[in-house]
Amino acid sequence: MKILIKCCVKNDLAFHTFKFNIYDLNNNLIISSKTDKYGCYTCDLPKKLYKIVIYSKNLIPNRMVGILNKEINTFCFIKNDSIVVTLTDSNYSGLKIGRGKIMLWQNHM
Amino acid sequence: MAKPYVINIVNGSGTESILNGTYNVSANVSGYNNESISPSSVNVQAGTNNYAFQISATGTLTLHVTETGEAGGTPIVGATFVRTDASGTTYGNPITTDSEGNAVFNNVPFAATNAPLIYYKQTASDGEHEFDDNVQNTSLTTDSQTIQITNATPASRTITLTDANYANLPIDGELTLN
Repeated sequence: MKILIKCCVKNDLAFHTFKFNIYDLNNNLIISSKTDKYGCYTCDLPKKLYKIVIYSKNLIPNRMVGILNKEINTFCFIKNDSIVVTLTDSNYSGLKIGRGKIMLWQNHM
Repeated sequence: MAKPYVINIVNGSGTESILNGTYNVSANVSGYNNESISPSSVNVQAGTNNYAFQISATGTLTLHVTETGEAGGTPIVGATFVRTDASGTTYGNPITTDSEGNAVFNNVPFAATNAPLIYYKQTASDGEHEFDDNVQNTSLTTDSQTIQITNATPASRTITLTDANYANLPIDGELTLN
């Protein structure tokens, strides 16, 4: 079966190339390659079902596991924007905190 | 529970790639009251990439100013100090020494180990004593600490007044320095 692997990035017009590995159902590595700059790759595979692991840089997720079971297989990533966090002393306005850590815990409420 | 995003703060800021969503915030800052992090929750949303947090401390730094820099020395009343960073930029209101010569900075960080440096400088004395206006620093290992500071009496200076047209001819009179 000829299949198309298409990796896209939501809300991003930039080109991205993705490395990926294709495994059979026994976890044997069949193909280790990368997409073109448009995020596409085509190949012929004899069976109807394979597993694929796609690796990305600076995207979410940075490792996606999926199934190849049709002619066109689309995998969508999310652009990973960085935020800038500032930390200052509440009693001395503007005084920067030299070193520390801030933890953000996802609130599922 | 999922792992949190950990943002390393260096010199007041840090960057991290974070998914949009609502997060509870905690802090790990040596010397500060980590429970005081504000805001305690944040909504990370598309189009907004800058988020500001504040934190406070509970230590007390007393600067005791005397003529000799000794605990029992003559106190200097009316000397002013201000918190700064390492470069000398000032933060907060100036603090003035009281009748006992004490200028008290509240809400400063302290920690038994890895206490952050606290920078400050003297901006004025009482008008009758010398003072060092360079940026100083210290760190508090306990919640309250006193530092002795010297504001010495002015050194005696020798002033000469001579005739401009007759070299070394001394002149009697008064000079006023304003």
